[in-house]
Amino acid sequence: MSNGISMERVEEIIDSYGCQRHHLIAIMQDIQAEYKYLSPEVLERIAQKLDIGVAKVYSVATFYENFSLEAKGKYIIKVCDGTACHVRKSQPIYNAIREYLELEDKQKTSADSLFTLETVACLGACGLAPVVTVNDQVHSKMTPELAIELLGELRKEEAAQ
Amino acid sequence: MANKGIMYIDGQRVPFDGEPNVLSVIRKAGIEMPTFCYYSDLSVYGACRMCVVEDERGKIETSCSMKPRDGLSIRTNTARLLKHRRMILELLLASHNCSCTTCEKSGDCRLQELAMRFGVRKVRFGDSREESQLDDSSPAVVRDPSKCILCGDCVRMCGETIGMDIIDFAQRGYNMRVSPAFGRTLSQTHCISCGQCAAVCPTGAITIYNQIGKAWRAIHDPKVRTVVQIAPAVRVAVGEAFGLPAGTNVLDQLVTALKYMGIDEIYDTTFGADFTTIEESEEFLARLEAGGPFPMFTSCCPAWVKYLEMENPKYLKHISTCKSPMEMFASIVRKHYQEKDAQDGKTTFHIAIMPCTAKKMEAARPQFQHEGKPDVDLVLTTQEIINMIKESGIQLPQLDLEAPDLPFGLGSGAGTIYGTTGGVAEAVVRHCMPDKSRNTLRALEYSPLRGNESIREATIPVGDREIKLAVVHGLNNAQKLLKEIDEGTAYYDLIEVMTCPNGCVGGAGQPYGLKAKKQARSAGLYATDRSAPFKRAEYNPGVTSILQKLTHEQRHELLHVSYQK
Amino acid sequence: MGTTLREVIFDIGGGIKDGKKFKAVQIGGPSGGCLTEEHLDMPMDFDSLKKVGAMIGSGGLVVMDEDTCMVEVARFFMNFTQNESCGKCVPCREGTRRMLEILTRIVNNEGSLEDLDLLEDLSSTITETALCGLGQSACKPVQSTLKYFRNEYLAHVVDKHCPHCNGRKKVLQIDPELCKGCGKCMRQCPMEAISGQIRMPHVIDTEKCIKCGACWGCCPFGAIREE
Repeated sequence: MSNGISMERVEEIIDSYGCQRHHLIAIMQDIQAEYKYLSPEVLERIAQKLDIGVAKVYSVATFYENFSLEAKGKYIIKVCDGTACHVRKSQPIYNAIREYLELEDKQKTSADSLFTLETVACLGACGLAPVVTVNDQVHSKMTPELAIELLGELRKEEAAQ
Repeated sequence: MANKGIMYIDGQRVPFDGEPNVLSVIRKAGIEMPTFCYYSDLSVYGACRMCVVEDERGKIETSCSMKPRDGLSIRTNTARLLKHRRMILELLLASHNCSCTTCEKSGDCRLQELAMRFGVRKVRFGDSREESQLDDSSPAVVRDPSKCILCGDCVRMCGETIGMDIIDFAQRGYNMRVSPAFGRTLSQTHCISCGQCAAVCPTGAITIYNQIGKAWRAIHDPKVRTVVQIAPAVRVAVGEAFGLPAGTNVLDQLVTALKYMGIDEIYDTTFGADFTTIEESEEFLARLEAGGPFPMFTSCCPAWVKYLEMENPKYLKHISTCKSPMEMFASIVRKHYQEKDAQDGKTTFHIAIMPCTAKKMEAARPQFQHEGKPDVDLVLTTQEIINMIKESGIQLPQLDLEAPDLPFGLGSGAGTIYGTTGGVAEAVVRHCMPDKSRNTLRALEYSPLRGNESIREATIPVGDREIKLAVVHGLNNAQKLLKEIDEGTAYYDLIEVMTCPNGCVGGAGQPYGLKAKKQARSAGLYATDRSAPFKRAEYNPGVTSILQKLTHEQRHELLHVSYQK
Repeated sequence: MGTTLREVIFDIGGGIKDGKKFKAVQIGGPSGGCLTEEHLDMPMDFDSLKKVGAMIGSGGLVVMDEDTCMVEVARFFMNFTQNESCGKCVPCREGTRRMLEILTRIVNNEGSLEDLDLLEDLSSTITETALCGLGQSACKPVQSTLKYFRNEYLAHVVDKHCPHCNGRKKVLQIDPELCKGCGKCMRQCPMEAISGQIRMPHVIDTEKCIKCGACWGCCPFGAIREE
């Protein structure tokens, strides 16, 4: 699949739950854990194999905030906007990253599909505020400049490969 | 053991016996409990909160989800309850497209009705929803999400009764919407056009695709000859809109009404059904000789055919090659009027009045077009014809009776019962059984072919064979049956399938009704059959004389169709 | 269990920061009610709290001081509840949304006295007819703040001015006469909305300013004002 999702693997996951429809949410969680999101093809295949209407699968996928229906970038950037980080200027970091990645309107993923930018309510690392994680690696006491530097490095690494 | 006892409702002593919930008991006591999301033929949803009642301790609960309990005392109209109902209505009206006067559902809308009933005069909030798109991609129904109150009736109908699950809730909270997956339009889904979603929708969010304008244009065009066929199920339901009980056969008044409106020729679909009975029986007997393929399925329900095409195409070679009565009749009409049109320079415009929205989809199928023109130019549902009659100011019950026109206005009793579940199977059996006496008819009356259970089986002796028949209504049940056939746990020679509950009498084009009304309509059809001058298709002189004149190829071309790719 | 609120907040918790006065405490998350000074000597246990219409819930305490606007607190919790509403039943889905709209209006000093009645009507219907516990307890913050802090609501709707809450519509300005250019506010601003040279009057970019009031709170010269 052009989006990197292997339908064989998806079917494997569904089969591992015995194709039982009451395992729908667990199946979706496993697939998302592997591919970071649920594509329309994935949702259709789940509907097919579990013998549920695709409207119902879509209903469950859109009900829970946890499920993402949009492809995510290779690096998922989470800027903490909890009270402590907010007061320690997490917003300028978020804005700077948005500008650097040229994200428009509701767009969350950069055009080169490398980075997805999200805010989270609180990472619980208030002593290190402001905190930014990249693929769950914690970066503490960040500033807009440091954040852009970090992303620049990652971009260079990708280009080198 | 049924749940029995005595309840006290607003101080009244009300016995209950097996009612599934307090709401049913309240309605039994003669109090019309308001509700949006409760539909007794579907599962309980408990979302609208309109049916709340108060117990002795002041606790408030919804009556649809309350089990009747012996000694339970509740009140249905305390000050608090009335206040809450008004607030809920106000909240619903706030998130609603309130263009009532020009709405398709005006006069028939439950939100409008209850807002009037509870005297809601002020709506203190604005509509904060995002703009939505009208979906008119389906031949059967139109979806207008701006009028949706999220009661979920359509979702449960499409999922539980029809088993197709085309629409469901998406998103959550205030952003929740009913839609097909991925926000697609209906034409992009496997929707079979049965229209049952529109049949249960309490507001104008889903309505039948209204084609009355097209009908009037044809009627008013002096160069056009309008030829109408009326389906069996329509005649026992039209009267309901004019205060007559469900099941009253008003065919002859309907004919008069149509004549007043300016229709040129009025015929009866049962004429076409008689063709179907004969052709289908012969096909079935031929399959018995050939040894298959079994089971043979009936093909008169277009939603069922569409379901097979989209979801289960391996059974396409099993369905009867017969066209539906509507289309068979349309072929005969086309052939008959070709000459007449050439003679008097008019164009024949064929209108079929059907209880069914899927027939609109069937009429547009490429298989039923000839030289770029559909055999059936327009399908009008019962509700549309009711609107046209009312628009004309005609008081149906006061009309004189008039019979449909000849040569095609006369059908057998067997053709009439096509409109109810089990009718098609019984018509075929009557034709196949060599014993043409009244005894056979009586025996069939008491066979499992008649009745209301969703899946019924019968074993009928035909000649020296025992035929295993099944009759199923509600597409969800048909799908269950197919699974059993797949697994090898069920075997039948002939299966009659009707997508709508109770068969065509319960079609989406019919006036709103619950199970009791649909059963009354079926009873009306059986009564008509009883008093019909001839009860078997082969006794219809009009039909047999046409069949005799057709060559084998003509018979095949006019009356049969293949859905296989 | 059984320790008084006063002990938990002042002894164990160390009291209110900066010596400010205690105003209210929210117990058990958004669904719990809020309690005031008169309840400080109440023991923290299930029954005592239930008697006054609050609940232990998650056991968390959010302590609010004299500078907190209770209407904003109600709005903040309603925002949370509204977000979490599943959308199935009409009173919660539609009702909490409308309550949030009204509370936002009030906080922005655009509300009216009728809005207070509307809040009470809505709360009553939502609380008594909602399908699940979320809806049934969604209005507790509003109901308890209306009960104990009605004067703050009145300040917003009648006076159109709340002394605690800077009112979203108001604009924060630095008085150039009073500003000494010390830069303290610039360093405190979480949005980097203040600019200026050292020892020159500083300026707030009202586009970036979210009116959190951090600058106003730290200015040693009282040069920051609401307009």
